[in-house]
Amino acid sequence: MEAGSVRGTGPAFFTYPGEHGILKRVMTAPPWLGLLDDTIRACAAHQRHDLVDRLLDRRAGLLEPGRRVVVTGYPGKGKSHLVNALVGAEVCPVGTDLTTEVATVVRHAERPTPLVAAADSTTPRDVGLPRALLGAGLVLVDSPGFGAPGCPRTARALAALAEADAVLVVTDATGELTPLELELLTHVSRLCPTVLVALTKIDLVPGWRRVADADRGRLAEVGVSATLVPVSSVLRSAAVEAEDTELNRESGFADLIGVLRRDVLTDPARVAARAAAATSGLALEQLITPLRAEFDAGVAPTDTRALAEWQAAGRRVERLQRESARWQTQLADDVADLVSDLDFDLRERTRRILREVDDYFDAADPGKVWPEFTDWMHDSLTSVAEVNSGWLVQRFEWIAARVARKALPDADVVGSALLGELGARWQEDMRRPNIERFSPAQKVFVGLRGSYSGLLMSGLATTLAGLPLINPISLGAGAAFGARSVFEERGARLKRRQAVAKTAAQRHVDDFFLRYGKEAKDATRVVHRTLRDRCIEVAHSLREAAAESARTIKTELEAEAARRTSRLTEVRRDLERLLALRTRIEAAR
Amino acid sequence: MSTLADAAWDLLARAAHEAQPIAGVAAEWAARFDGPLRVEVVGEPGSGRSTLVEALAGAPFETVGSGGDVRLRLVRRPDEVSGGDAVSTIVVLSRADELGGGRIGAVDGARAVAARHARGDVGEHCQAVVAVAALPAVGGLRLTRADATALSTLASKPEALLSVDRLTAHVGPELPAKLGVFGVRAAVELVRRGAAVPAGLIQLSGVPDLLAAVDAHFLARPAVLRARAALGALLPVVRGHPLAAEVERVLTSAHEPRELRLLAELDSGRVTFGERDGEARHLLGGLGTAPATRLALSGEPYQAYLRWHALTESPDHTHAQRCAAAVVARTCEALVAVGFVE
Ligand SMILES: Nc1nc2c(ncn2[C@@H]2O[C@H](COP(=O)(O)OP(=O)(O)O)[C@@H](O)[C@H]2O)c(=O)[nH]1
Ligand SMILES: Nc1nc2c(ncn2[C@@H]2O[C@H](COP(=O)(O)OP(=O)(O)O)[C@@H](O)[C@H]2O)c(=O)[nH]1
Ligand SMILES: [Mg+2]
Ligand SMILES: [Mg+2]
Repeated sequence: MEAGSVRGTGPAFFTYPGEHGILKRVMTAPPWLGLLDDTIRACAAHQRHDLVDRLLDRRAGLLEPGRRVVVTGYPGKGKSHLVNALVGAEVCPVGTDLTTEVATVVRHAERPTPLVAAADSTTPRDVGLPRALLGAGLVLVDSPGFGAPGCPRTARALAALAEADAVLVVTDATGELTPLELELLTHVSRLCPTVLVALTKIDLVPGWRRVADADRGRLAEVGVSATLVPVSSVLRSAAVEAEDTELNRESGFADLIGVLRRDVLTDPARVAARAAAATSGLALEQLITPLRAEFDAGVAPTDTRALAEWQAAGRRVERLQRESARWQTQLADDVADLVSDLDFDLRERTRRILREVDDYFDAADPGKVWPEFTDWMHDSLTSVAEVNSGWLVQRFEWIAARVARKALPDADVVGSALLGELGARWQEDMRRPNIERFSPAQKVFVGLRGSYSGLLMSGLATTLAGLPLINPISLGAGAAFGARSVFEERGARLKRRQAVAKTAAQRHVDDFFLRYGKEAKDATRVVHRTLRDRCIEVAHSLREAAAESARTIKTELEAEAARRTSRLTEVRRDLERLLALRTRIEAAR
Repeated sequence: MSTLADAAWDLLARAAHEAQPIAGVAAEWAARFDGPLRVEVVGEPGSGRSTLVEALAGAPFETVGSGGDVRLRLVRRPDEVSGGDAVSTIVVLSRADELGGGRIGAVDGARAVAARHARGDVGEHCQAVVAVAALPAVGGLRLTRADATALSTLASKPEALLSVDRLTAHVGPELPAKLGVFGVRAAVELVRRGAAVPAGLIQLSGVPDLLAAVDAHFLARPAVLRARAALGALLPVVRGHPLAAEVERVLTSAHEPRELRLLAELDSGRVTFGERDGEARHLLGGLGTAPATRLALSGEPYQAYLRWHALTESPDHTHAQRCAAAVVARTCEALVAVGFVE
């Protein structure tokens, strides 16, 4: 049979060997069969093929005619002897040491089957005997005693238990039930609800009645409802041999058989139903436990890390938006401050030059010193322009850094780099007739500096070119005239020459002030605009990226939430179905 | 005095000068050093400890509930045994009459079980496994005249011996309580044969087997076992102390415990050298630790050393045999080197 078709929940599900025989029974089937089949279907639907296999074995076992009573317990308690004593034949090996390695299944047979030793150390032995008790529908299973957890013998003991319709736990009167035995009893009663306890060796122990009472008390304590029957297999064997009814009564086996008839044989269907219910219940529990865990986990909030990331991304977008208005104002303010500081500085410096010019020409004769004066004036204005434009560069670098910090908070853009990029654009767009090429920011101002010197030279030259007064007059000649009149006349002419020089210088400086100032302001404006545009651009892309990442995270979160919700709905539906099935099973118990 | 004992005595003397709790433990064990060997009787409740202690009254050692030099470990079934210090342990298969269902041959059956497990896994954790039914041994010594009468009455009533209830119905509850069902059956059998009941019960009970085992495995060299126990008790309290390394060294390097272990393995049959077993027993000090006694069957110690050493490399022997031969060779080596075993 093919796994796919069998494991499915479809109609082909129960196409396993023996189906027809079973289907015939199904017509008159007891209600537990439906429950068991529903459980098998549920296990298959939940991909628990291990459980399916186990339940199918169980189903086949329960549909067999006899009711299987598995005799179990710790070694040396007298399990094998008890089975022998029940059937009045030495069918199971009995001994002082560990003797039972494999299970022995004792069934009814018209003629005794020959006893054979166990084929191997795992397969149960089968024995047939003509006995009324067995004929009445009892199958007795002698099983190996429990040992250390996980050892092969323990595994075989558990395997025998897994097929039990009813369990007869054997303990002996030489001691009260130990914690291990009580644990076994609790386990057994969950596995299979029809449980009996045999207290063996009562022929041997003087205080067996006290032990029996104590054991009954312990059973009640751990909540196992099982009838405890004190027996002596030795007496029973002797009674069977001697056909001694009195001895048989003393052996307790009459009672034991009575209890077996009452609890197992009177209503075998009920025993099967209870076993089926317990098995189904345990299997269902294995399906329910993980589902319930998943359901409980599902109600908890979604992935907190993703949520936090999403919130952070949202906050970032908001902050970038807020900052963008703020930094633009600030940039404008900074540039306005810069312009006014620049203007003031330039004015101050030129004024200082003019004062010096005044002082100079109060004494000096322009006719004699003009060439030197022209050089001095050129040097002074050059230095003014250099200092002023150097300052401009510094301030812009500072402003750029500041605005970068504000506008592009998390972007790795430093101010100078911003200005660098700015220069590249400047280079393309902004060319001025008398301004050199602009490349990186500094060059803007270097060019500025270069341009002003030419302007200065030509300006000053033209200013003085048409002035006849400037013709130099020999001082020596003046001195030859001697006396006051000559001196005065000379003084008056000198004064006029000085005044003309001062005015020329004044006009030249003013001209410089105006032209250099305009160039500087233009440059400032361009730099400002470019800086702003560049920042807006970068900030915009930053904002876009942040918004995009927030959107992506949100979409993922929503998708995950949707997945969870639909899975949860599925889990809840499955759980409800399983719980309903469990309720039906509980009712059947 | 053995060398292990000397070394232990030295260490105890030194430890007595250390801080508490080392000094306290050392003093406590030093004080017991010359007393009788203390045999601890341990087991689960109901395993028959009290009854066994009573049966051992008058033996040449002291029985204690805890903190002994060596121990008798009582179990109801051999499969209960796991772990434990082999050299200082004898496993007692207690209430042995019940193991076989109280039949007349029950204790003999238990004895066979004990011997089988001594050769198997259980033997790894002890020097010997002994089946003991202490109750009939103890009860036999307390029989009254009335009990004797009851026993002779029962001799003619086999049906009364079938169960404890029947016994009680015939002779009252005292006798079965005193001897147990097995004990009553055995006593009736002794009466029938005209043998002395108390002595016969003691013989059947396995108590003499236990005394012999204690004698062979514990009392032959009590000093070694006492020294080991003392160092074993000292070890946990000196942990982290400079003495710890020395205590450990003395404990692990001592050769005498290995001799004791091998003697026990030869006894249980876990190891055998065939016809050489006798010589091995002699060399290992099983018949006395005087060098002359050890060498009684071997002659010249160097030649003995060569013979036993050859076995440790012999491909005809099992791993267990080669390891065992190494122990004997080590004994011979000591006899060659210093004339005695340390
Ligand atoms: N006196 C007495 N001995 C018993 C009784 N049942 C079992 N035994 C003995 O207890 C020992 C262990 O019995 P066995 O049936 O092999 O125990 P199992 O390991 O539980 O199968 C054997 O020596 C039996 O003879 C009983 O009712 N009375
Ligand atoms: N049949 C039998 N019963 C024993 C034997 N030894 C002890 N008992 C019984 O086992 C029970 C517990 O014995 P006890 O010595 O008190 O065990 P403890 O709890 O370990 O001290 C008592 O009822 C004893 O009579 C024995 O050798 N044979
Ligand atoms: Mg058995
Ligand atoms: Mg006690």
